[in-house]
Order: sequence, then C-alpha cells, then structure tokens
Amino acid sequence: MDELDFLKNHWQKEQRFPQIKAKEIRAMAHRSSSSVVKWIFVISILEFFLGWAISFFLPSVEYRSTFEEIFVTTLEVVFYVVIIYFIYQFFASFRTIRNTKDTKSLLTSIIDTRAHVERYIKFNIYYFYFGFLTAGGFTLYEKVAADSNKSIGTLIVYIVLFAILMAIISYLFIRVVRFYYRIVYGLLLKRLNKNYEELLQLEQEVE
Amino acid sequence: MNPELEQQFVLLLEENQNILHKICKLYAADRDAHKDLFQEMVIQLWKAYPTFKGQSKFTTWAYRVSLNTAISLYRVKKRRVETVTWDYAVHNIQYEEYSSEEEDKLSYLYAAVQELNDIEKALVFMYLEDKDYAEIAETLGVSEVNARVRMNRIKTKLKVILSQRGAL
Repeated sequence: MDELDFLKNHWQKEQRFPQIKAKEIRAMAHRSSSSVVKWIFVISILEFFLGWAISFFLPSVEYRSTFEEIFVTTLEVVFYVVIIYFIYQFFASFRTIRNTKDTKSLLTSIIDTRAHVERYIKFNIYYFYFGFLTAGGFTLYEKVAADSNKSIGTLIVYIVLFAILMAIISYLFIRVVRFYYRIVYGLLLKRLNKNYEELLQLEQEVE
Repeated sequence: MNPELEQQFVLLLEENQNILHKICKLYAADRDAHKDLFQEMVIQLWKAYPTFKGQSKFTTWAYRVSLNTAISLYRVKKRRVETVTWDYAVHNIQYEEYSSEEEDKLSYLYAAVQELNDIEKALVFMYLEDKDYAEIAETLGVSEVNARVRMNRIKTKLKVILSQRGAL
C-alpha cells in the first residue's frame, strides 16, 4: 500500500479531538485584543530602539560640570529602567490576554493594559518636560555665571527672554510628542476599547 | 456586530470544528501552538465570514480560510517551528488497533510530513481528508493539473525522506 494512503487510513479513523463549545468559539472570535496588545508591545520596543539609535547620532554633549554629568546620566538610567519595565508589562499583558480563557479575566487584562499605556505615555511626556526644564536650567546657569560682570537689570532681561524662548520650544516639542501618542496609541486603544465593549456585551448576554 | 449572523457562524463552526483541529494537528508543534492556531483561525474565519455568501459549501470555505491562516502563521513563525520536534503529532496518535510495526511506520510518516513545507502540508492535508483533485484545486487556488503534479512530487519527496531515515 502507498505510504500516504496508509496514513490516510489512519487519519480518517483519528477524529477524536476535545470539542470546543459554541460559547467558547464565540468568545474566541471576538478576541482580537491580543493582536492589539502585541502591536503596543512591538511599537514600544521600536520607540525604545529608535530613541537609543538617535542618541548615537546626536553630537555628544560636553558636560560643563561633574554635577551635570552625574545628574544627566542618572536621569538617563532611570529613564531606560522605567521604559524597560513598561515594555515588560506590555509583554506580560500580551501573554495573559493570549492565554486567558474566560471573558471576565480578559476584561480585567484589557483594563490593566489600558492603564499601563496611559501611564507609559504620561511618563514619557513628563520626562520630556523635565528634560527641557533641566537642560534650560543648566544652560541658563552657565550663561549667568559667565556674564556675572554685567548689571542685574541686563541679567534679569536675559533670564526672562531665555525662559520665554525655552517655554515656546518645549511647548511645541511636547505638542508634537502628544500628537504622535494620540495618533499611534489612540488608534490602538480605540480598538482595544471596541473589543472590550464586544466582550462586555457577550458577558452580559451569557449571564 | 450582527447577532443573527454571529449565532449562525458560531453554530456552523462548532459543528465543523474538527477541520480546524485536524489542520492544527499538521501545523502546530505542541498543545499550546494548537490552541493558538485554533484561535487564530477562528478570528480569521469570523473576520472573513461577512464575505462568505454561500456560493460554496461552508466546509470548503472554512478549509480555504483556515489553511491560509495556518500557512501565513507558519511563515511568520517558520524559524521557530523548524526547531521544534514533531513529537506532538506523533505522540497524539492512538495506536490501539495497530501492530508495533505499523506504529513505527505511522511515526515515521508523521515525522516525514512534518518536514514538508507549508504549501505541501496543505496539499497532504486535503489528500488525507479524501478530497478529490477538483476540490483540492479550488481550495488552494491552483489548477487541477497543478494539484496533481504537486501531489506526485510530494509523494516522491516523502519516499526520499523516509528512505533517508531508513524507514523504507
């Protein structure tokens, strides 16, 4: 007998599979959350590496004091640690959502993920704010120290002008960052919310 | 979301779920992968369901969408799948009615099938399902002649694999 026909013979007899109930199939069909969360996870990693790559191409900053060097380095380390923590959280959510069987815990996982994304975005934006503030602070401090022979009045005008300029630049930059987050994560969260609504409806119908 | 359409879909799929399980058996490397692939196929079938208007039989349509899902997933995970063993498919066999010689033969055969590529597996799957070449051709979107030619090549390839393993 032909090998494949021998296999076919066996194949036709082996039809015992644990059967999945209609209710479960229904829940499965609506479980598109895991792919959304997978994208959140992938995009956060891409952002991380993009930021890292850009930092290589930027001209290296000459630290004006040891204090500044320590301060900036600490800030960077804290930033990377927190971002890695968030990426890990996204990965964990992805795994949980993929492996959850019942709708209830799926709903909880979606809420958790949503909260993580919101915190992730907030952290990034506050970090940028803080970065601008300290960079401005250091630059200003240096200028003022260098021009200390000038009159108090000149210095005050100088400080005010500098502060306004910094405020405008950082405002524009943060607007761009916010816009980016609203587009990318806003879209993903919208899908996640839609899936949440669907699942909630399923859950209510079942009860 | 149309509840009526959804109910119809869920019931049809519940009735025909063995199609999906059997595809998983050929494509998934272990129980987790089986679950993953099953779920992915359900999602894809449900997404595609509005375009299924009953021109073909539900099963024919389900074969097509599910196999496409398995093939594209397999492509994505190719590297990973290649490194896992074929133990899952082999150990899943229940041997009651087989002599030990036949058991060995089955193990070798399943292992050999696991070495085929994604498209070849789809053809073997349809063949094992006892579909005629017309249906195989329709499901996989190739001509009937092409399906025949490919099937013959696969048979030869399987023979080669088996003889390399000393199973023939």
